[in-house]
Amino acid sequence: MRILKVLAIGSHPDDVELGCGGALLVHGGAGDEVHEILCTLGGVRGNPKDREAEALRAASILGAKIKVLDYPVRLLNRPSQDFTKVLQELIEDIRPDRIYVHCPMDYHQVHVTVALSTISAAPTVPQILLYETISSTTLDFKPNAFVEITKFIEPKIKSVEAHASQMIDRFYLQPNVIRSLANTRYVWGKLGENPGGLAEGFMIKKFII
Amino acid sequence: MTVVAVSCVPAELETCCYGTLSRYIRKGHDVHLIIAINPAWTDELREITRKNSRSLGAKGVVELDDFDFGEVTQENVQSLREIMERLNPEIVIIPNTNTQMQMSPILAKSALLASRRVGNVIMYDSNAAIRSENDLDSKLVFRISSNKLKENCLKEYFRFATETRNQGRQNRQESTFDIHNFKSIASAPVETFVSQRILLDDNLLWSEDSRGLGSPMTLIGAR
Repeated sequence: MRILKVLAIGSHPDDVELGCGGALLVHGGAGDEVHEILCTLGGVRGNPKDREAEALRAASILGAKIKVLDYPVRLLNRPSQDFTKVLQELIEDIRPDRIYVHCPMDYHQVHVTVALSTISAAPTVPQILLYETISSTTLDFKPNAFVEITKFIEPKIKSVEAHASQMIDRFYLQPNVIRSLANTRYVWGKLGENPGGLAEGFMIKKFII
Repeated sequence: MTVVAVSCVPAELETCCYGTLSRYIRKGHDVHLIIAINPAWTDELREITRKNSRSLGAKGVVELDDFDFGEVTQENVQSLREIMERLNPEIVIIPNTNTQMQMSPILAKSALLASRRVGNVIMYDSNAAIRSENDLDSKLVFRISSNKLKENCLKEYFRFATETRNQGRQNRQESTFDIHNFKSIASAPVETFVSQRILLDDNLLWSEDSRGLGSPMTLIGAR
């Protein structure tokens, strides 16, 4: 069976864990090579050093090789040539078969910037899938590709909980919220008839086989 | 694994899906075709479709003679559902529910309802032609290599259209087969689909046969 090289790109610590942490665990379980790019160490909340440590811990749980850019958040209010170039060089270095990145249908301008910049920076990557961040993705997100994560929900939750500094006042990081969305995606995606089934949903930006 | 492809337009599956279906057959999957018959289907066209399905290597063709193309009816959905339950496919390939082709939206919506329990449902583009990288947007794109198979299958329809024209017989699809430049269609390096839903972690269905099949820009430039 062919081994994939996958890359997940997130704006802030915990975006990748929330949006595609389960899928990355599925990839790891299948023997695929998993990479992550973390663009910033968050906005105004939390100490950057703590957030980096949390991000590294979370990536370790997901089995991902992580590159922390620590790009200035204030420069990501809109796409720029500089930022796209940074991403492009990293993507060309990693040469992934598949990229997971934010969906640009999002209220958070940094998520939109990272999504659009990634799409521009990866013209030759054959597969790009867009993930949702429950806190800010809009209702225009309509998933049409799904990954069952029932067996991987516990490590996914653990990877989210690794961001301990954020757990206190971010209700959407709570395990029951993560499970609830995952259960909805499982049922919506018609993955099966297990009432406890869990999945992540993605929108296909590009999927060349 | 089993793949089912559904259509109601002569030559449509050959044009839009045969490359992808051929890929699945080469990977060892079973492919079945469901054809909803409407007045466009003469006996000759039905025979061409059966012949082409044998060339493809499909396991079988189910011809639905009583399909109601007026609206999405319970009977339509039930007849398709019975076939789906019998074949138990992992993938169903249907016309695009937004297609402008005459009777296809009714069939597409009926097939979608009948595929409620099927994990992977994708929709083919009836008028697909890759003009630029933008045409790959939001699409499932299958690289295909069975262009000769497609050309030979489409040639059968072209031959039929020529014969009926020479015989002075009416043929509803005649203009379509003339317009279908079958060599141009057959030479396209990809077939594109829109996903209703697919299960990504099923490597048997959604992985390449091998690496090194070229970048999407290469595919576009190769035309």
